[in-house]
Amino acid sequence: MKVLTKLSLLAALGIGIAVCGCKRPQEEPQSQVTINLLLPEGAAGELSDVVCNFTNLNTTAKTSVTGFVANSAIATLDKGAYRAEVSGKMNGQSYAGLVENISIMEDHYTVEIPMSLGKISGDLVIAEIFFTGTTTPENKQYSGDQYIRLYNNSDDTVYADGVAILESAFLTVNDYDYTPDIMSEYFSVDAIYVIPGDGDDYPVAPRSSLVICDQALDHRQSNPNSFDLSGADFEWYDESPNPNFLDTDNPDVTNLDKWYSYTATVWSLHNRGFRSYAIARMETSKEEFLANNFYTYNYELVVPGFDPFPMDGEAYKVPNEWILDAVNLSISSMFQQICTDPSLDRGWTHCGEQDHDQNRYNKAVLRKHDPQTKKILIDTNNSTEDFEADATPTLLQ
Amino acid sequence: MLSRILLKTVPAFLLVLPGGPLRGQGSDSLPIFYQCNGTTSASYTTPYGYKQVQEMQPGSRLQLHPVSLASIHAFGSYDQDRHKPTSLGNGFAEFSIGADSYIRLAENAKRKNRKRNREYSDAFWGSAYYIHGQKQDVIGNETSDYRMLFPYIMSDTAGGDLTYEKYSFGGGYARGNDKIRWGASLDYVAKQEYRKVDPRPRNITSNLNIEASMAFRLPGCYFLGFGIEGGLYNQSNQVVFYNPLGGPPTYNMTGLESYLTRFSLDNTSIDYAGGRYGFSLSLSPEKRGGWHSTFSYRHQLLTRISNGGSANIELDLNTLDYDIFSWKTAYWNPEHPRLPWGISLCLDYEHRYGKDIIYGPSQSNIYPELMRVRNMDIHHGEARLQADLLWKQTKGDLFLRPFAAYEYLSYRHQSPEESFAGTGISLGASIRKIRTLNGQRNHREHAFLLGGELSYRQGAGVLDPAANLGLDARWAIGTGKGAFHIDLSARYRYFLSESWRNMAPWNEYALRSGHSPHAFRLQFGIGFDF
Repeated sequence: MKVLTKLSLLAALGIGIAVCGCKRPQEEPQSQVTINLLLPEGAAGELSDVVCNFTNLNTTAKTSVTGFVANSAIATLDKGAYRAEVSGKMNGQSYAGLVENISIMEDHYTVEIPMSLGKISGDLVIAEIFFTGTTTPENKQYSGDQYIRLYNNSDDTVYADGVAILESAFLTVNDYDYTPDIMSEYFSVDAIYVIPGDGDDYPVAPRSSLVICDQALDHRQSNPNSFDLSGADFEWYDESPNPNFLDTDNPDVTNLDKWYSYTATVWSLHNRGFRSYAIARMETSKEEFLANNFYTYNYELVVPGFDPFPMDGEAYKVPNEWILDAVNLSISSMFQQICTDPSLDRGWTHCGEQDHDQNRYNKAVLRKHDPQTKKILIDTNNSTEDFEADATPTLLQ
Repeated sequence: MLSRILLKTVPAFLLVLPGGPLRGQGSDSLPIFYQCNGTTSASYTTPYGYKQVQEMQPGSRLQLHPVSLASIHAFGSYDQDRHKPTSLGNGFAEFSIGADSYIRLAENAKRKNRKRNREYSDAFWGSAYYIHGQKQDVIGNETSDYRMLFPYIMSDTAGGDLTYEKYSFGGGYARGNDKIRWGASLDYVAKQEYRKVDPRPRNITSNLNIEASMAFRLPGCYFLGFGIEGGLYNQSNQVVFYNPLGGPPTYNMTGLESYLTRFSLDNTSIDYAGGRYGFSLSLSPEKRGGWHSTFSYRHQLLTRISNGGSANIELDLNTLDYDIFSWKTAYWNPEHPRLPWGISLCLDYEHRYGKDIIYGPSQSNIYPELMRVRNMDIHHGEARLQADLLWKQTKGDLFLRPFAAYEYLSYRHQSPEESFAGTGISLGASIRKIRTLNGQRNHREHAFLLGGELSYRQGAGVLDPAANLGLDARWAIGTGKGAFHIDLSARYRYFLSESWRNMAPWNEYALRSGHSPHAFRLQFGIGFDF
């Protein structure tokens, strides 16, 4: 009898474990999210045609929320980490907003999204950035044939004099908290190259392009896979003190006026696409700008197991009002945050998917054409939608 | 009388308990002789099913062999099977060398203590193996121990041949008398897999397992045993690219073609770490024959960890839990004068479930953990019924082993929602003829084994019938207690459908072109037993 009792208890224990082991999967929790859109100071009214996109940071799944009433809406979202970007219209003007770093963990959550007036496209825009470079027949990386193509998206002739090519001081793959945070007013840069001229030296006809490149050469002579840039409109040229890193100057192509570059040798576009680029009409002289727009910033570098390391950096700030167009570049495997105010560009585009992606070479980001009027380029200040990623460069087509 | 009836019904009662660990996947790689009796000599033929039950607890190994045995052997194997999942490759070539030893100390050794004498039996066992080989054409998987870590593996589109080295050490001790038995064992396996062209994985695994058991005599002729086990596992899974232009993307999979979108691509340095614990209950006979039944439960927890990569810090990505139930029962009657026979029933059930770890937005490389979501469930069950029949004849023995097996698989991924379910039935038999010539100074043994299996699987509306035929041959010559043997094994399998290969849930991400319905394996081995 004792034996039977012991065996019965053991059997019951085994059955109990078996039952406990077969658990039903838990339901994924959701949250009721209230979305409030905050208009900029001085603006009043109700936005129309509002679309709010929540992107889940962990799954990249997107949830679109519409049906805003009085600049507010309620949506049901899975709990998690999100990025929200909004677009809408009021009084014929476009507004945009962006909030990153949203953690929705409660059953009820409220998110407030500040809106800002979008930039109106009626001037030069960035039509194409070829930053990856080409590859040689031996499958080696080739440098020197990077270029940026600008486009007159308006019906009028515009002048390129005084338009600057700007590179962001920060990387889209870093998540540091910079102090002071001036992004809502300025674009922080570490390279400024300006098209020279007196104001009417370089006209750009309506719906036509301007090519600004690294080395204005016929690169096919060095690399059959590359193309001819000897006919480019402008090139950026650096006087390098290092004989091992020298730039090449084509005397037949106008050089940009170098206002500032973080590097003492040769500047080039970030080959893996980790930075943001913009064009701006500089409204002051070079000397005045360099004297008045320099600033320093601080941030903390956190390494697990150690106390935070205080870090600082230097950059120049370009007022957002001067910016004609901006494009954030990044890669999906490492993207952390955009480097521009959302009113300039609230999205990002890319070549390649991961760091050192071998598939990024010979690719560019191309602004899309309006499907109805082929000569107008789409510009909603959202390069995620406005640009074609991993595109064939126009000079390779 | 009452107690004997109860003891006879206990094994039947244990039949209601489900489960069993999914072991024995490697047993198919052994020549059939080792599967049949685990030794090289036909004179000590313990049915393989019965031996499997004995090996579930170290204390039960006291009855594994009646005499001491030792062997040294070397094997070469060549396999071609384009029907396997692409993640496991389409074949392999390997060489192994190893040694096994089972030592029984003097029977009836007396040991005096203060109060009474006890007669104990002792047994030691040990084994050591080295295996070097190459898997061919592994696509869609850059992680070692694929079946154990599935589906949380690293996948890519390139792949290639994979070289591996495996070191295995183990041993144990058992002691007992007519009242009590106990034993302990330790097993350690280390493995390295690598490739010398892009993508270049270098995976190092380490697997340690420790078991202990104790059994007490019940009224009658059976022992009731309790066992515990514990173990540690870790793997370093790193993929690098030497091409200055970089390489194809790699994906940290989460199941049914889903992957971690936030922590894939640049996260090519992954660790797996975890451990297991378990217990077992057994009912074993006093002598070598009779009913032997063992139930075991094991829980294993592994964590997939990203080192560096896009997060720049070490982050836990997923947890993988296993609940493994196993119940094996076998009966063996070795005392029958002309037809020793055995029968075994093995039931195994594994519930594998995984959780995604959700992180919030990062700030200065700090990723706050928001929650853990259970996103994957796999239920896998196997049942196998097998009989072992041995006709003793004048100049040799005839051995017959028929079997029937059933397999069930259910696989569900919650978000995005995907699922797969399938079942399989296998029927087969093997027949072995052993011819023994005993002379004054030496004996010779020739054995031929012919085995066949018909299997039928279905899953997600896809059918997969197959036929399997194998032929093994052994020649042995011995002097005194030693024997030298040569083994040859050839197996051929024919698959009537290619669809299962592409539909099977074990086949993540990549599909292979070029189906062949034929699969074969050749093995050659030499050894010396003493």
